[in-house]
Amino acid sequence: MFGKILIANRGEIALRVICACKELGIPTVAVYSEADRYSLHVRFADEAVCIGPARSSESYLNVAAIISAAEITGADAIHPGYGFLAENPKFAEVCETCKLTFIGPPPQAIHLMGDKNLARKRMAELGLPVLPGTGVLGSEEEALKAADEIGYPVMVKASAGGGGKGMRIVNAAEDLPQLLQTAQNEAEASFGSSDVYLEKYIPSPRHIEFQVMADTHGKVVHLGERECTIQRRHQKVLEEAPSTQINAETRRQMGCKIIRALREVGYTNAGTVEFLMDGNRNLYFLEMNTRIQVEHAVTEMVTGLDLVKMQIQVAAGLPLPIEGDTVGLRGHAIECRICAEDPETFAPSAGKITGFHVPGGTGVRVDTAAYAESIIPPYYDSLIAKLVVHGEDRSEAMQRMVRALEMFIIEGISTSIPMQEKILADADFRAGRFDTQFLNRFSRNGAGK
Amino acid sequence: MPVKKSSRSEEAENDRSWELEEIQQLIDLLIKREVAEFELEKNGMRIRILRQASPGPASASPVNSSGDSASQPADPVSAPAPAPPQESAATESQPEAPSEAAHVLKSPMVGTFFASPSPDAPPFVAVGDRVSVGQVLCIVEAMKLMNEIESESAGEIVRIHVENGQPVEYGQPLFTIKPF
Repeated sequence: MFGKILIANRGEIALRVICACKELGIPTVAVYSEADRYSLHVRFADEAVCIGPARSSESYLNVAAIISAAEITGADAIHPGYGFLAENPKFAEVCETCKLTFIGPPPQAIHLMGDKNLARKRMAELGLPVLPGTGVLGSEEEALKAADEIGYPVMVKASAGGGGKGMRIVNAAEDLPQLLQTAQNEAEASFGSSDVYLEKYIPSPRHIEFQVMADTHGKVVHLGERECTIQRRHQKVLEEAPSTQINAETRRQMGCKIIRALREVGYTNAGTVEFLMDGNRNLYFLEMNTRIQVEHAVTEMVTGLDLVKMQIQVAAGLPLPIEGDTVGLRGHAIECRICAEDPETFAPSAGKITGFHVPGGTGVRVDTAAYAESIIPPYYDSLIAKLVVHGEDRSEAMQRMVRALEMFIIEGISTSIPMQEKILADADFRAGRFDTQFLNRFSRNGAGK
Repeated sequence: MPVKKSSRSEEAENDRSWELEEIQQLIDLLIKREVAEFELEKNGMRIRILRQASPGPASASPVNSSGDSASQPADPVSAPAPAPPQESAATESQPEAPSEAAHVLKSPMVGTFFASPSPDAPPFVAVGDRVSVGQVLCIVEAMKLMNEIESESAGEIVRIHVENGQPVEYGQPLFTIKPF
């Protein structure tokens, strides 16, 4: 087992990793920017090293500083959390070169899944259903011909992209040349590569993702799905497990396909396989995230597992203690991402938290690095807390979430709690009737239904 | 409330830990007396206060990492402050000679501080030396690369804050230089 783990991240996920390390009896090293000097992850780690000024590029994305910090503290493993360097294959390689264990999948798996077009192609070859689409486009003519075959509407997507950037929806052939160009320019600017491909566009899909875990002995398991359809501008706002649209048989079949494909790819550690679901409940592979995700807690609540502990154990070479393809799921869990933002405009709202009280009670979990008198810096993402509830069924989970949202006090800044309460009160949400356009009804333009 | 220089016997007698008010009074006194830099250890907690060159309130900076023990921040002027760590470092208690424009050179990177160009060579500089802008004062080694750290000001070295071979973090004070 590792002698010391350095957490190359901040905020709630850094704390989350520290929790797992403490329970495993492994000493921890926190790294922090000057803006995070008084953060909880710094407080609770056994050691802390300041690695740079507030700017992410000079701190949390600063590979040299992070590796140096591992060297001077004698850490032998690095957990990258999510975001920042978590899916950077070069960072994973540098760790390997410096004899530091990167707690995550091997660099070549990160690289494969980081190329969205390549991943799509490979997963299709390995038996996963994909949307009709193309490889990297060589010319405008090729694009027009392919779009014709696929049938409009189509989406132009950046190969090196993700998170909704470098994408354009094309509704008709006459719009294609212009949008193709724009997407390529944006892709070049954002990701350093103008490679784009086409995919059939589903206007109002659902977003379903499967959690996977694999050890270094060839065992791959899936841990069920999460429904992450409630999003605004490709940012998830609320997640739940299981999905109301997935039955046991679908879960079993898709789980089987995923396991077979990932075994072929030589995947290890945690990951999430993302799908779009169309109006007929068909699933199509979208992309894979080769990291632990924000919403992993939802899966932990319905499986009773500690995914971060598993990541560490797997990285240390221990075999997964799971028989078969998966584990049983119990009850229903919902997570609301509580963000520092203006409830009307959704603009981020940095500042000082003057009052803070987290809800408790049966079946309630809050993952947060915020505390009374803490300052939410403007330099990083706006996630303040993850409020996760578990109930015997979806009905109890919703009831519990309503209660917990009501009893969550955050004063001094604006938060998304009021919006989450609107979601939980919405009849369509309660009935499980929604797609990725759902949140439009709460925006200023969509009159609240 | 008088500022105490701590000695080992005083430390042994005095069981109180820092009060917020005590720290605020300390800061007020340092401003009044125009002390640029002050460090004191008491009751297992070390406090270091650095005043910026331009006239203004003193800023309290947290306890520095000594590399082998917990580096927990202790901001005395915001409440509630996180609990202070157990410092095993030796007591340093001399208030610095006041200097309006003393410049503190901080480490621009994470790594290991080396006072000499090589193990058997003499140190680059010593306290009392006069240095010029751009003069190499030390090396910070990171990932097997030796980075020469140059002086940002011309003046006299009044204090070397770290020891040879000590791990340093970003922003950690290395030298105090009194400009000519």
